[in-house]
Amino acid sequence: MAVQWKWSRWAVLAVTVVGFGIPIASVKAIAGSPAEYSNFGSRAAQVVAVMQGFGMAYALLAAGAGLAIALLAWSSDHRGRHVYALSLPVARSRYAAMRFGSGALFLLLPTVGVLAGTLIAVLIAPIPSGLHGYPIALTLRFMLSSAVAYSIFFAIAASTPKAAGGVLGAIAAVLVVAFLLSAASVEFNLLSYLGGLVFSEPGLLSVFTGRWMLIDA
Amino acid sequence: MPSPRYLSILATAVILAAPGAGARAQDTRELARRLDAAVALREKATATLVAYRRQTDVAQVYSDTIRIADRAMLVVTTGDFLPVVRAAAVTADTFIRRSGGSQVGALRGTVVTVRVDTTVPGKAGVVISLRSNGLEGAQEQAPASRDAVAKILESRAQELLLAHGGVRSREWLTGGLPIDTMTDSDWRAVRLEMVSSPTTIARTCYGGDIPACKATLGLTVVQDPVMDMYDAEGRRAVIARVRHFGQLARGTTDRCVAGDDAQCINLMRTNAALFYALAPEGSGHARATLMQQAIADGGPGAIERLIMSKGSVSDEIAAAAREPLDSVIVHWQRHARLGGIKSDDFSPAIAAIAIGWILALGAVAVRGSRWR
Repeated sequence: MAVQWKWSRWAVLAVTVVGFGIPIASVKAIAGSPAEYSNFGSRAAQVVAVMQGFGMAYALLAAGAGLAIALLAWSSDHRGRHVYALSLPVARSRYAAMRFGSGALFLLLPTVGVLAGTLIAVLIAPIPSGLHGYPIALTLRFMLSSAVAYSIFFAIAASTPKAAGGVLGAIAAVLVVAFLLSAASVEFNLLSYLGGLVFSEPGLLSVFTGRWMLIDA
Repeated sequence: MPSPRYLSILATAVILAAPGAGARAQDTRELARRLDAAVALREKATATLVAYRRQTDVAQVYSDTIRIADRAMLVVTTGDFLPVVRAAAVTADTFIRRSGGSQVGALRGTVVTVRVDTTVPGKAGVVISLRSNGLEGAQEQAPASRDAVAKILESRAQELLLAHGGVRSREWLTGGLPIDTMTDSDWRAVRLEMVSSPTTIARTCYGGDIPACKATLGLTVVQDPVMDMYDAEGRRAVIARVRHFGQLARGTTDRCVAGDDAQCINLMRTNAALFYALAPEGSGHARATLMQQAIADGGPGAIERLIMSKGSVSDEIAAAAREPLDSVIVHWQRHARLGGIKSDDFSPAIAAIAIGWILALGAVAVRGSRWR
């Protein structure tokens, strides 16, 4: 774990700082003069619109954090072609589980960063009457999303090149089939159907969709 | 006398132009002929389609019938869906008689058909229609389940009862009256609508002012919408939002946005492009929640009382609720302020799904092998 921390610490710290900064930035965006919200019609409408805009940032940060930590977990092994890891007197499954667990623990730091940022933001933000702050709910969603992203990329990085190639090949095959169906004027939108499976509950990426609102009704 | 050369040139020009003029006339006639033929074809196709629908609707055999609402309403279906429709009819019957009371007789002669939805594979969907003069209209698709079919039967019956009763609230509601009770999402949407409105009265209504609620929901008439619905900030916001559409005089608009409230008032009173902002702010959804609140407060027979009340919309709401309109509005305000205060960011379902995928992917990663 110490060694994995050495590889991952700068990425983790960077994500933590960004995670702390996003809520603060969103609150600074709404703490303007009354003239600045005239285009929205009311302060509350402005707040909701700004929070919706910043919602995407949380989702992207969660995906980025998962990606970075997952790839850094295996980067050293990939460079050494897994020779050192396979020479250890540890079962492969146990070794992978230890890597997985360590990386998952590192995700707690960005989560703490987001929690601190959201709590401070809610305390200093001028929340209009009728709206409420949801720092805990947002932080929990961030934590779960980053963990899902981490799991996806960890599984891909841990697999053999053949398996990774299989995944890419499957994605390419879907695109080709969708193109052929479209060219044949078949009224079935394969990409839309698969997108619904992936992004709608209980799909793999459903945790990334929906509302990411620090302040809402 | 023109020279022979000139005459020959003129004659040549006429001779050359004549076929062209004739051709153009011929093109126009040909075009008109083709257009007439296309119109005739379209009308023939339309007539054929109508005849086909009449033929299939009449030929559709509904082997099973169920009578509900004191035998006033007839539900017909095919044998495939009899168990589902029968169960749905029992549920709907309870709802219709509970809410319609003595008025359910107005449904006499109503025939609802339930048949398979051929666009859904495996007989998993149905089409529910109202039959009138041998034709099936007002079709609605639904899953072939008891709850889904019951909801549509209840909704249709309620709508017909309100229509028969000449209820004024139908027009005030702008959309149909939902049969479901209000959800947290409904209250959250109403709260957001009220607090984010550019009008002062909507926000005052949210704060607890009953007359403001009556005005914003269109139950009372606002004498001077420009002054009574908005403050100076709100008027400026209305102008600022539409200024880039170019429908307002630039000079006056700029002065208004810069802070000259007199200019804003003048624009809102005189410019037709801004008249939309003078209508009551409360949306159809907000009005529906008020009516739903009244029905919830009134309990059994609410629709019956609504129909039998022959007064204004306010009277109908009070009759449905069996209490004064002000009391209904107080209950509605409380739910709007306190209902559904929870975030959509996180829920147990989201957590369960995410944790499930994390465990599954973790298992895949751990069980994978580098050996080929």
